[in-house]
Amino acid sequence: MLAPVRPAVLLVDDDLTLLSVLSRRVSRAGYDVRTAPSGPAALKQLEGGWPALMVVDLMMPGMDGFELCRRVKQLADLPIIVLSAVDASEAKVSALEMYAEDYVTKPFDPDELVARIQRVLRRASIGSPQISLDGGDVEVDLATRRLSTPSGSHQLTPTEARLLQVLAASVDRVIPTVELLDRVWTDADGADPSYLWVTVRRLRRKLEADPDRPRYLITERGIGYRLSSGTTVTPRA
Amino acid sequence: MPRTGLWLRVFVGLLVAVMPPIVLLVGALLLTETVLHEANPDLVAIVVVVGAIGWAAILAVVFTGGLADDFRSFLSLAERGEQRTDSDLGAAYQQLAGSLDERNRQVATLAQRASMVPIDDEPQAVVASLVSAVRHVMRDPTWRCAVLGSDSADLLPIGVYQGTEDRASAAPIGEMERWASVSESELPARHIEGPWGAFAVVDVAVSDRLRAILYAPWEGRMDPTPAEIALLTLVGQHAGTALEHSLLYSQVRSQADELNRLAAVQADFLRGVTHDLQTPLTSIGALATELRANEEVPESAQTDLESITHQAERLRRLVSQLLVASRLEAGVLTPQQEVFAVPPLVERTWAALRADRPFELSVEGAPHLAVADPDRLEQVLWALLDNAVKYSPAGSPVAVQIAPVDGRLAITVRDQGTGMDEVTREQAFEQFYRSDQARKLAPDGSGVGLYAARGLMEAMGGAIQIDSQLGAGTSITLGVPAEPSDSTSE
Repeated sequence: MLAPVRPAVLLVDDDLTLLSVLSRRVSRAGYDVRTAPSGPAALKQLEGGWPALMVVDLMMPGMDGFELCRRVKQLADLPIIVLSAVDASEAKVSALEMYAEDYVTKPFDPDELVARIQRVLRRASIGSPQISLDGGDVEVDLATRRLSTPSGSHQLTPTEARLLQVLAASVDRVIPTVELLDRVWTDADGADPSYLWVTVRRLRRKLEADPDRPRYLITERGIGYRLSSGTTVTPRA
Repeated sequence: MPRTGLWLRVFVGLLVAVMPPIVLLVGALLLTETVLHEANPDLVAIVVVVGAIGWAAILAVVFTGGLADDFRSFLSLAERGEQRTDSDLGAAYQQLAGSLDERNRQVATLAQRASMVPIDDEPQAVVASLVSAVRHVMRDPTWRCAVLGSDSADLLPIGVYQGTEDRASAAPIGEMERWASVSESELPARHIEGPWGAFAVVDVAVSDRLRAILYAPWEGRMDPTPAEIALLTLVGQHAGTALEHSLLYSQVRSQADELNRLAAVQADFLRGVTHDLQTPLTSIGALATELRANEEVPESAQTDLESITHQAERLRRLVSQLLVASRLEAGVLTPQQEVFAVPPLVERTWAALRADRPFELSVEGAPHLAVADPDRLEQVLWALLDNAVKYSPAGSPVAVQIAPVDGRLAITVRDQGTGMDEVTREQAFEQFYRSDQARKLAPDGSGVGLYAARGLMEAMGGAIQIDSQLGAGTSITLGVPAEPSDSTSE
């Protein structure tokens, strides 16, 4: 019997001690870990094959993380988690919106990084960075987490964006509460159904013209939730 | 009746009065030899005398009326102060009025120019403005200012300053300026003469900190009148005040700039140090965790590894607190807004402290989920619980109560510690503030915990409030944005 294929993760950090520690921890979580101590070394690694995900330290001598992310994204839409001690929130937002699927600020717990890797890979498998409902009346850009409706534009929280992405991957199909909790939150979040209820309520205030009579985000009582297309749904890759 | 040509009229009057008798007399003498040779001389003398008296009487009647009018006019002028431009008195009066007008103009100009001197400018520019103002007031472009002594030589160097219109830098002080500054120096404004000629000199400042004069060459000019000396004294006072203010302003501004620079250096240092600590801290914590997970590590080492993990975690939280402080300073703190339950967060934070204390967590009211940044709220809770442990007696309990209040979750952390006096309560949220009591109980505190806590709570749209009395423990209540979380509320 063939062993299951382990997703490859490329770790890029100029701190070799941290690189070694993270490598062991991520490897223990079941990933095929590759490492690179610099941007150019990472690009060299990519020539030999593409990983499922890349973890990049933002502040590296020579080619910094931003530049590496920019070059990688020019080649392919590889999911990236940014890892950095940079404290400027602007840098964080900029990195997230331009290149990264997630962002971890040092110092962090390696378990947290593993949880983020799992979550990003799960989400990446869903695809569809943009959602369009009701013939374009409602649009969601998951990269920037912007929701546009006829009543205006709203910023989604990371959780709200993940929830919409999971629901949009199976539009007009009911997703059980347990599955939503599993795919939207990590184990470390300790989420229970009440998290989902409150998040749905808050999301409806942004998405629906009348949150008390939802048109798109439909409750299937006792089962879960369903994203209704309105008239049409066009997931675009 | 017009009063023009008074003296001309008097002169003509006298001439007319005197001439006929003289003519008569000369005529009589000439006729004596010819026509009147045989006439009676006594009769001739009588005729001449009577004619002269009659002529004088006529003239007196004619001219005394005009002179009386003139006299009455002088009296009227004296009484009413009315200007009579056709008289010497009127002209003197006009001259006096003109002088007063000029003084009024000078004082008004001085007041106006003094108010326009930009004391918030560099002191050198202020001196130049003062010179220009004095030139304008005195209508004399030769005025200059000599700064002969200054304890702020960097702000106002010693030298001779021209007006702003000259656009010239300060010239070196010469012997003449030194002489002018000490000659008759007991008078604040003076006219002096000496080897360098005559000068008008005004003291601007005569203290040990600053010595300066305004001066102008006065050769070939009338000595300044007392009124001009008084005006120059006033000019000197105004100039001195403006210059002193300018120097004080510059010194305060210079000190403020230095304080800002030091604050920026401190903030950069704080940011740099905390950044540099982040990567090694991540490595230490991760290495210790890895080793603990390794079954080959002997049991005896596990306790030490746990201590390493715990201390690394503690250090990580302290560094995070410092980072929050520096982010608050830079105004770049933007917390996430997530939905989460507070009780597990409180329990997890308390467990991370590993405090050997009784701990009580009570949850009241309808179930609610917080809508905030869980990582940031954990930082706040850690600071509050850490303080509760640090500033209360060993073995005393720490309690946390969670209850919904007005659409928020009120999280109250209560200890039975030393409490705070009023001064400490008021300053508790200031960065780096630590009371004497706090320093005694926990010498190793950083003083940023509550500062960061308040900044974080405000950034999350929440609030923080202290309720404490000295000797009666402390309760700190957080107000966290929240939403009901029962199934029917969905």
